Amino acid sequence: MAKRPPITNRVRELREQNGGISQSALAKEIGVTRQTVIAIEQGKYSPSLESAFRIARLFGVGLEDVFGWEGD
Amino acid sequence: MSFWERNYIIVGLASFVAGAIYFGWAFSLWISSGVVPEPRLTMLVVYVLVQFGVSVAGILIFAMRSGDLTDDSLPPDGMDERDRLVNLKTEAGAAHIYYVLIFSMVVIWFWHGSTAILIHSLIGAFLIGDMIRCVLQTFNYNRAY
Repeated sequence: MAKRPPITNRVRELREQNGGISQSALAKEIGVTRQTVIAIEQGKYSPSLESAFRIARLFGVGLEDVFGWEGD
Repeated sequence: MSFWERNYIIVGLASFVAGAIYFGWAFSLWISSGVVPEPRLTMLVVYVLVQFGVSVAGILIFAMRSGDLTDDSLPPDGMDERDRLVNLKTEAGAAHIYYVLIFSMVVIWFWHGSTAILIHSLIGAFLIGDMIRCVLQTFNYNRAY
């Protein structure tokens, strides 16, 4: 199995902080499938820059508040 | 499991079923007569119909059961950026497999010089190619990017 990308994210945490928005609702907002949101939350998939910006803008935070580099 | 990941598994299974019917028929004739059986149009049609029928039926049944048909969060074509990336990687890998299979098929044909062998190996190439593509797709969906 390939090594996970060294990018961490707080998508699940931000979903819970923002009224428990569902994975399906988040997926619909950013234009991906629910399975892709699950893969992002599990750290198995790093989204495109466009989707990353969409996620950050949806939660009203900056890109670096959602995504980070492992170990930073 | 995503809509497309599941569909590839269903198509792989459909190919397996169609291939089992086709080669089961060819093998039984080969055992009984001792020679490679001549291909029959009926069996080729059966292969295509079983492969297509099982694929379509499986995709529809599982899509209805999982609620994908009514899931409005799915993109219009049911495919998003991750699906496209996985497809790209799978097609790149599968292309090499198909080259090897087609080359092997031609080598077998030159070796035996029989049209029957050519047709059977063509069906075999489709079958093995589809199965390997299905395995590659499943692997690519479950690895990390």
